[in-house]
Amino acid sequence: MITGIRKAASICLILCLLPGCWDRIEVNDMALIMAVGIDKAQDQLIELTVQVFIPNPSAGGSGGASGDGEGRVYTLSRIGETLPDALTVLQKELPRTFFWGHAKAYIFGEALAKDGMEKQLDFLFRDIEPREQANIYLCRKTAKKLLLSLSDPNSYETLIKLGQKRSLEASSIISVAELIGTDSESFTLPIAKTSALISGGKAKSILIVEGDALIKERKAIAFLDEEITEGLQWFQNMKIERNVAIALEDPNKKITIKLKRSSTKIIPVIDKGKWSITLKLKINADVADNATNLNLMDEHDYLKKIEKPFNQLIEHKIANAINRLQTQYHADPLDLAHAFHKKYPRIWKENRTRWEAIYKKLDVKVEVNTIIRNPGISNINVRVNKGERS
Amino acid sequence: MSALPIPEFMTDPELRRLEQSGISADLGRSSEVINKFFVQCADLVIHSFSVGNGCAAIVVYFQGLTDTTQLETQVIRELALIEDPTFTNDSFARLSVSNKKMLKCYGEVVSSIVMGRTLLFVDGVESALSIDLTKFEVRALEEPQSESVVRGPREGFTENITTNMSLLRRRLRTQAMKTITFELGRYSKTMINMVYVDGIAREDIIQSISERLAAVDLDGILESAMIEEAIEDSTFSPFPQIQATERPDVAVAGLLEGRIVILTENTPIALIAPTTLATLMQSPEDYYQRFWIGTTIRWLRYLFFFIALLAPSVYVAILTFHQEMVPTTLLLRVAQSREEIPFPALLEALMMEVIFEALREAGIRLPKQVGSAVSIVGALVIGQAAIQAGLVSAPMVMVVAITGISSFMMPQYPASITLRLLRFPIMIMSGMFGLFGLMLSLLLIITHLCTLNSFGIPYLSPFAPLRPIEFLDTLIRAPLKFIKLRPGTYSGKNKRRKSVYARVRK
Repeated sequence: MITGIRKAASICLILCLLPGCWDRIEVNDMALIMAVGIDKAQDQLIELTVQVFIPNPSAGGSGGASGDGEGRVYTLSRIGETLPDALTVLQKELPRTFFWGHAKAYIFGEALAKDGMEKQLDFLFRDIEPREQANIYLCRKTAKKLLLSLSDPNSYETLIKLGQKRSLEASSIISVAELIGTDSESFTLPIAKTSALISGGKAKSILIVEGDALIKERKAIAFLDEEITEGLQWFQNMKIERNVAIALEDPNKKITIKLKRSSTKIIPVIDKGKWSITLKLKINADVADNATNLNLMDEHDYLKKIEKPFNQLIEHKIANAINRLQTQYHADPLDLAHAFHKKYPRIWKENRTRWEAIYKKLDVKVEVNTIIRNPGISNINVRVNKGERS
Repeated sequence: MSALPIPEFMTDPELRRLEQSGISADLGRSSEVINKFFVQCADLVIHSFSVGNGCAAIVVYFQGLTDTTQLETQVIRELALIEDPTFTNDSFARLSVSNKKMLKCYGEVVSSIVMGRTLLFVDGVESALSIDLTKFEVRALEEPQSESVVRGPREGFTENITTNMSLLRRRLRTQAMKTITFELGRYSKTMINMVYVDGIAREDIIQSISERLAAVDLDGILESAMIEEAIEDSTFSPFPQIQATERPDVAVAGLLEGRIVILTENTPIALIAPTTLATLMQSPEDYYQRFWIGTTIRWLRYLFFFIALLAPSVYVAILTFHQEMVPTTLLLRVAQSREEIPFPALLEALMMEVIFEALREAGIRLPKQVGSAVSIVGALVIGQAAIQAGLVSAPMVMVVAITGISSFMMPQYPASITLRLLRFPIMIMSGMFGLFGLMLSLLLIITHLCTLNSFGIPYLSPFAPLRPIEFLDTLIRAPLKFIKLRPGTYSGKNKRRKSVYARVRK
């Protein structure tokens, strides 16, 4: 009994030595970083711009606070040797502790991205606080300018929703960490932009994501145009709901199909030293709009017949995009290298260093198989005059 | 049986001598002795009268404990009819009272009187007759206050132990239901009945409970809780190791599982031992509703068991250490409502929980007439006013309210106050070390539960040691026809239940 009391007392004394709450931090003392902009400054320095959320006390407690968001998001920017150093500079000035755990977006400025982002990415991968689900974006010019120009009444809501978008999954820190180590060492990152809209009678600019930038060996080498972006997206399996329009005979009369589901298959072949690859794409789609004279619901089974033009159109788009990547940018964001690595590990080992040369001359075949399932729920003739029916 | 409550503190040696001495034939001597024992007992009645043949006689009893009408009609009037010239022991046989016995010494006389019996002395007879004419005011059978059910019997135990025994006898009409009586308490001499079903209860448990009961020596037993404390295995554990109930149906269900019921005089609370944590989570209504409902409610109870124990601690831990675990939108909202609160989350939580406990306690203790005052003030203290005063944040109020509700989900009140108590150390640990501290305190609690025993039955049975067959009545509430075995840990020779339902399909 006595020893028990002694033990308990000594444990209590030891506990007193540990001033317990060393990494305790109250929400009140936090500045929650929502978005981060990283830019190149002069003399190899880094300019860090953070958009922090500081709660507005008067809005707290009683309901209906989410509407008047203005003034709660502050944007600050400082220059430092490295990314964490710039943060320390910021931290010295601000009484609140910066908290990275809820940062949703890391935006790299154009100049920095073209120089190489490895140092900054290293911090994001290494440090414990930045969370892996946050997205990495590129932007034209500087990220500082982009973040400062935002006047979104719901800035953090927009960022949260952007981060939840399926199509942006591939730009989260965790996927970027995977993509960096691929065989081809190239991938694409989405580009952040501002877009104007009117809210409450005032013009606001909000953050949107549009287009892709091509990254090769951790450097941004190009901002891709729409043609390539679109062609690539078929294989990056991002666009779940996507409409494709095509004109069959008359350019004014188009059929639009709505993509429902797609699956891809990449088949690499090395035959007598000749490297070739077949990209197979299978699409399930419904008819969204029909401006032609075809009656898609009758016994002629036009649904089957219109599949072919769609196949050709999409095949053409993809082949064109890949062709331009091969010749113009010499980059392989679809990671076709990995397909060869997987199927021919030994040959790949020997030819690893030659991949760029092989890729330039790689024979790429694209096969698209469109299956149109549903002609729509009704077939009311809004455009066709009587007697013109086929 | 000694009539003197604590012999060593009785200063008068004469009383001790008198206690042993035989009853004198002289009536005057007897009444003198009785007066010596009951000095300054104003409520003792000594009534002198004479029997039919002219012999003097007295009856001695305590006012208010005896049925005087019966005394007059059955005893005094009958005795007046006796015409025999000499009055002997055999003459007592003419009294038509069923419960009577002859006493030989004054010690027995005194203890009979204090038990509320009526003593009859007749001049010239060297013995006294003790007659049971006990009658006192009792409360009628009422609905149990602390364990109410929607469907199920409405009768609860009362303070009267004979009524309580009859409630059990009416439910188990078998000679296999055995009763062992103890008299505990030096001064109170409280009657304790240990009830079990022969063959179903385990011999060693019966043995150990009766040994422990016999060893108890207290001044007075005012409530069964005092016995519970005196015979339970671990006094310092916060967990109740004996189940308390005021429902006869719960007691009988316990008996049929091979557990032992201890009835205590002057309290409506019966004890059921041994007890495991799983039995504390069962409500009688689980068995009275359809089994789907019983099972679902039981799961809900398990869920709220953890909420009652952990909700404020999790809130404190996450909000001070692991902000990254909160969904961003929620965190921003919480941050906003916490912005004006001057206290750390831990202090805020402790404050609110203490206030809530105070409110709950006040609600139980306060006089009925001022009942509404507490609920009005309570709603102000834990509510919008507290938020507007800037003392607590809105999410904290929610957490406290949910915790409060969930602790009332426990069917056994002792179990729910245990949860309330344990909440505080866990909260402090989580405030100091975050989720790590929370896990640490949970581990401590689980370790403690694993060491706990109730009369040799592991407290966590059937989870540890594992007895999957008993999950039918712990994890779920299976229809009775599937629960073919009694809980193996506490049943004796007769292990199989009768569990046959009518056949409805050919």
